[in-house]
Amino acid sequence: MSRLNFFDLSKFRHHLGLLLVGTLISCYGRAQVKFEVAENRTSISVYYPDSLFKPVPNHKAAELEVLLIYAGITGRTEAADPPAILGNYQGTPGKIVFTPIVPFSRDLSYLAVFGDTVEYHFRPVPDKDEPGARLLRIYPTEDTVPENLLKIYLTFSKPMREGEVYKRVTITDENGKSIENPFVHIQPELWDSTAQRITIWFDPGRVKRSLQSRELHGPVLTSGNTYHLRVDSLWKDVQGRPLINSYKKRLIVTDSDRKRVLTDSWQIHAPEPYSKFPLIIKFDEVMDYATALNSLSVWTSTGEILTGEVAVGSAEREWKFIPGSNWKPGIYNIRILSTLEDLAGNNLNRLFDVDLSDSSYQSLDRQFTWIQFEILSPE
Amino acid sequence: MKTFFTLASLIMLSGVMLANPGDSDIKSGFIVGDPEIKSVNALAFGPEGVLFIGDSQRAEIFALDTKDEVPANEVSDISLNSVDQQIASLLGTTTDAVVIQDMVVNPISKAVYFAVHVNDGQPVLLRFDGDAFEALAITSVGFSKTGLNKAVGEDAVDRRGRPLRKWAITDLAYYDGKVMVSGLSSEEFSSTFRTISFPFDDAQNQSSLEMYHAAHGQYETHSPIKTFLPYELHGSMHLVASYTCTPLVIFPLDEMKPGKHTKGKTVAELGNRNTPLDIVSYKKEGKSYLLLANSSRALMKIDPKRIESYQDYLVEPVSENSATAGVEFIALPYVQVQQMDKLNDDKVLLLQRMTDGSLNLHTANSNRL
Repeated sequence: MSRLNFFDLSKFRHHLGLLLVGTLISCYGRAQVKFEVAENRTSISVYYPDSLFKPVPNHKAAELEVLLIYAGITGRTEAADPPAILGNYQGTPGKIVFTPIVPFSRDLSYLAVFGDTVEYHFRPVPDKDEPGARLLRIYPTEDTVPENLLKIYLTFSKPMREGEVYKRVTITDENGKSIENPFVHIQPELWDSTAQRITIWFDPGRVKRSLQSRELHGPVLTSGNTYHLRVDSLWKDVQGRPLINSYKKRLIVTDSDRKRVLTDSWQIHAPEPYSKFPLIIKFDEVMDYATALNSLSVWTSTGEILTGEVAVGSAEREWKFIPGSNWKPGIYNIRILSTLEDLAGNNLNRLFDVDLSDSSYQSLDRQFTWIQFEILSPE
Repeated sequence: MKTFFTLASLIMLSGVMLANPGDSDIKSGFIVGDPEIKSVNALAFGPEGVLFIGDSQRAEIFALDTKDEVPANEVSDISLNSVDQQIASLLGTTTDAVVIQDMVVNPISKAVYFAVHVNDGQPVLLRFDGDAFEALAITSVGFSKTGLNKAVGEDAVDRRGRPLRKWAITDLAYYDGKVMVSGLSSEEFSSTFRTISFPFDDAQNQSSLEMYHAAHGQYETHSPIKTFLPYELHGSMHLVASYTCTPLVIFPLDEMKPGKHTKGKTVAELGNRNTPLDIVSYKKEGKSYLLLANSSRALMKIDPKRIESYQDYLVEPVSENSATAGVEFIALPYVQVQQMDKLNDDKVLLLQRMTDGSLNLHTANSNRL
């Protein structure tokens, strides 16, 4: 292994300016040098008496590296020091500001070393002691799920830390025994842009028929059995705080769903005219939460899309739309994207896994489909 | 003579107009500034030190000018123990707050680039030259970018208007003037594979492909590609793609046309309870091989001649207790390899979780592969 030079300070020791710093500080003592950590933990400044010496004549980065910061230690040792933290330097006479690439953590000790001789140990002031995140919802909402359930969504009250999901979410059978590798480990993890909702896929190799994982190990969930989805409270939010509670959700498994999503038997509840009452669509099965939220929209008969608020409710059996302005009497069209999925990943065009030997099956190739409804004028 | 003058003045003019006279055509559209990268999920090197970054949060591909173009004099083995601890220390945090998203080797300088997310997903790019790390200034850099979002429908947004759907980029490669991107939606189950002409111009030069694989000739599904490699088979370029549920599938590149239903040929299954992580090619005694890293299986070495001579789809269901099926491979004694790239034709760099729990970077020479 090649030798690392992370904490090789020898080159600075040979620097004339640094020699001066070292010498003078040892003469004048540490009282001459003052450290200051920014309240938001994004930088540390060192003030030194520039009336006495000019250690960094050009304020170039390499010269400013007379200030080095180490994480997780309170004093230096000969051999086991970690590398100094990477960051950017800014220098003005008598002052060096170091901005680490990542703000200092509130739960870690740091050591600032100036001129290889003056040490300053600090631990940033913790944020106001707020509790960690709460798990808000687990989708699907209902306990009863098909054997070929494809994914679950978890939503949290605060942004969560990446890299923990497959350690923190587990499935146990009726005897409390953990199911081995129920989920496909996807990197990047499928967080939304707020880091508050994550998508977890069951291992598709054990959902799809005839793939080797399923042939050897069977499906993750077996019809007729009951399982528990467990969420471990050790899961940290972005601030490093654990969840408020651990969670457990029962999964009662029924037969596989191998039917395409059909819109024929959906019930449309048209709202009253001149109101902002919701348009309600009742599905004939439980839909996938996220695709249900995204796949439906309401259009006027002249082809304009309505803006408004969308919600998925009644345990994902219902889609609601509240318009931005009052409903007017007339004909409207609901557009349903073909990517709308049920719990088993079947959509409007195709089944999740297709049996090619079934000659009656044909997948479709449409981007969306329409359902019309009318709001009548009051009599 | 007149033509000569015009040409000469044009050349002079362009020399004046270029931000950096040393820059070539491929960087002529680059601007210097803050690309506002939000996540660094996948990396790939293009020509002339251009580093492509797949940003899932922004659903964009960035091309960054690393200016790291000085060829390495010699390719020496690289090794570094406790990479995650080293990186955590360099970033002033702890290993549990650091996720290494990808690792690539600059084919010119042989420096190793790490894409890292810290705490709240703050993206950091680190360069390791075999000796020390440095952080790349990703907020002030020459770059160009292209978006991946195709406006289909009106996505649900949260209370602050941020979209809930994410397009997670699983792998990225550059081949013959094109950036290839595989990814999956955080919502519907589908595989998206795009080829984008580089230098980036406009959305017209993107093609989105639908790719299917058939399992045992009977069941057919959309599925997300986890990792892929453009590779020559049967004398023409193919895509060797590994799916999340472990089939290894090949697609001829010239048959992959936008909007066309492209069905790949499944040539192997890489084992259950396993996720493929990376594919590279290397040479041993002048002969080319493929190397596959997996989440819970040893490193697999595949002779591409066996893929070429493999005539059938996987037809027979996998026999019981058999770990894998299809094209034969050799399991090499490297387990828990998390990232992999080639240093040169006969050296492969591995980031491997060792039995003592440490995450080490080391070089495997072809005589050991």
